[in-house]
Amino acid sequence: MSEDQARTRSSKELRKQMFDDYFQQLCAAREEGKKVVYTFVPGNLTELMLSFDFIPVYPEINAIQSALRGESKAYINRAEIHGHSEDVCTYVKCDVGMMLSGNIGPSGKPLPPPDLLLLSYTGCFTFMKWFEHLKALYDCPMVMLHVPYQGDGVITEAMVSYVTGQLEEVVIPLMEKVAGKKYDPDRVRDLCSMAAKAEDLFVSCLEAARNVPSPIDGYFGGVFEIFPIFNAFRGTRAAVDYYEALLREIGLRIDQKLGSFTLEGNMGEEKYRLVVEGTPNWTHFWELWKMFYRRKAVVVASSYTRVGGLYDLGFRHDPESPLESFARYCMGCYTNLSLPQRVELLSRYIRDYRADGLIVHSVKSCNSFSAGQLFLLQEVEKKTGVPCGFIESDLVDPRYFSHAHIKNRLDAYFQMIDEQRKHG
Amino acid sequence: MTEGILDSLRDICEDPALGAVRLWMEQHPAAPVVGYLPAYAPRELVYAAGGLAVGVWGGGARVEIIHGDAYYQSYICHLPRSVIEMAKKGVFEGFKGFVFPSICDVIRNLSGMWKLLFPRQWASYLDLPQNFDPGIGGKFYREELIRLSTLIRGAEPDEDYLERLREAIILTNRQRKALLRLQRFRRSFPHKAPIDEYYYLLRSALLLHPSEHTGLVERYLSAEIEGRDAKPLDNVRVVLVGAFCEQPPVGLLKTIERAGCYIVNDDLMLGLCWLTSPLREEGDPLESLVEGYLEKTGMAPFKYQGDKDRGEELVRLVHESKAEGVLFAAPSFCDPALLERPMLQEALKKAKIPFTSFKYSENGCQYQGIREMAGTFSDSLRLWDGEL
Repeated sequence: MSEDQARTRSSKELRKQMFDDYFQQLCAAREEGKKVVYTFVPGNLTELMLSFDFIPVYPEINAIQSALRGESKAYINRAEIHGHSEDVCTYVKCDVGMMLSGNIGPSGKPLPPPDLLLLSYTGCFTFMKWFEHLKALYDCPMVMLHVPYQGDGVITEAMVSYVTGQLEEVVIPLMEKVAGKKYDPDRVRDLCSMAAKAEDLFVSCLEAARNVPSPIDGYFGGVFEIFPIFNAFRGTRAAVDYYEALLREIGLRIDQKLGSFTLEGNMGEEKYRLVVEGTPNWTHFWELWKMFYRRKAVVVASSYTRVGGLYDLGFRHDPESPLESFARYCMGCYTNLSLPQRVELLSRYIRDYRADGLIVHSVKSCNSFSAGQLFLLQEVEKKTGVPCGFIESDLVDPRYFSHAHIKNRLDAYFQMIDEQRKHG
Repeated sequence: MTEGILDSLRDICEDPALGAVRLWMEQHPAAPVVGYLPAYAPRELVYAAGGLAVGVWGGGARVEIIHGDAYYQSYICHLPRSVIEMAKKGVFEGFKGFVFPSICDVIRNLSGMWKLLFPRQWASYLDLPQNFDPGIGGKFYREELIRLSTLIRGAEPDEDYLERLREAIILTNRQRKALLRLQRFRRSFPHKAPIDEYYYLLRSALLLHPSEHTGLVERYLSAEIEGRDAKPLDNVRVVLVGAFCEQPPVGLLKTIERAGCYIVNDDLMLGLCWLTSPLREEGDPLESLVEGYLEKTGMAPFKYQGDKDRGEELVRLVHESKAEGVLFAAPSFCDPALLERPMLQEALKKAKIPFTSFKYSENGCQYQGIREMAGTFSDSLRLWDGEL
């Protein structure tokens, strides 16, 4: 598609096109001799994979899509019958259940099995066990990229050198072997350069939520905003086109004071501006979104839209030193931040985005996010003085979603904000 | 003789106020005391600084949770609640710092909470490398050890410290040797070293200095070997898997044995005996610790094993221990243990090794269900040749 053609299309059309093309390419991968790499969203090495002409597949996204289609419950049941505990991550169980049920993707056709499992071990300990399961299901090589955690809130040279060492000595050589071609630094540089362009645009989209009313919803609507940059498209022209289109639309929304986009049209006037911490619930995604926007609550910033990279803090893929920038990118993802950094970041969003409060959506399945969230809530409240609320459900297991419970919590929370406003 | 030792060890292990540690602190007022969370930390670094490393494997059933639940949702394991509870009650007052090894997201996030909750102590996350190449993971781990030593002693390691680190390695090698001897003894004569005695001997290693603890284990062993007149019961032999972090109550372990299962191998307090051979006692001691972690540590749910099959390793362990079955016992909501369970079970099925599974919490006190489960398992092995 030419740049002119892209300019005439809406972000929604472009997104649909990208999505359709991706799954078509994936389903034709075997016939066309393309290699497929399964990997994770946080700390993904998309530019590196694309430089080898690999097609990346993200199992978390498979699980999300299964949940949105209402299929996750059956997949989770399948995995539990297979021996998985009810206590553990439902992304894993949904994914394993999907594999055991034929690995059918959103297009209704089976997804190709992986030629390589790239275990980007960033910000979540479950990833390792998850890929050990996949390794047992598929006969293909697996490679680990261990990404150190920012325990002290900093990225040291030793940490960078550890990650680049793994990339140079372990990850890239195995990719070369699987792809049957040599590492091409020029191509990686080009992809990183294109990624940085998309990242600039993406940040402008996110930061547009500082406007009152906010032209976007930075959590529920944010899922559409993050789609290309967290997915297989970072580093491509298509991602840049998408963000250019989105930014144009956001500009119009700001000019016309339309407020954020909702499932039922423009929100217009907004009553509550919120920051949300935590992963969305995917089985009742639309229902939960409605509970917010029907109360005129818009999410102006969220931690979830930073799990695939903290670009708004300044990080960009650097074409001049791509491997080091991959290392810094991986270590900078939200779930790789220490708890004090998370408190600081959320407090900053509350100030910068003029939010009325923080809602923590805690999910049963995800210890990386959830362990410590009650404490995090107390600390943000202490730091900012805004009211903070707490709701709970799960990622993709519908059994843990209670409409009445969440509704009651949200109603009480909004009443608390109203009372505070009344009494200054 | 052993009764005296055991009474004392039981008191030490079951004291929620860590009286033995406080006594040591009174006797060594200037020495650093450093807590470490499960499952493995290079505690030699603390001993080399003249200090005491204290393994904090949760508070068990004796710590009443008043504050801890306010920090954690119901779907998080129990260990961090009791650790925070103990900290809030001042049990760790006077500790210089805490080490949080990289074994799961809960302990990882607790490291950050600690920084904000207890700013007078340093809290250090220890990233155990998942790359085992000496030039990559080894180099990184060495940097981690230097960073940690600097926190512990307040200055970068110098020649004098490295010399004392060599001595600390000799000390922990001797302690591990004694503990391995204890494990081997129990494997051969489980009826002569009951599970609670074995457990207290292990657990006290978390609280006592090795110079004191090793002697106790050695004395226990020599007294036992001299001859305790105990007759073996008609129990089956099992391997216990999954209890490497939050610990099962001792009552639960005793229940399993009373129900007819001798636990002849286990991963209880895994880090204490994780090394499969002694650390090198000569040369650069930091390199010895690096080499020990990279090359001499056994399997663990939080360790990347590459192409090695953990299921096969478990099967080998079962055969080596002459065990007849496996009991999967993991704490509720323990991701590392519960996530790998299906893979291990698959390997056991292929090898036709019977197994059963349950979950526990460190503060659980109802064992009836587990007694029935372990009893049925034992019966199935003894009477029906493993048919469940």
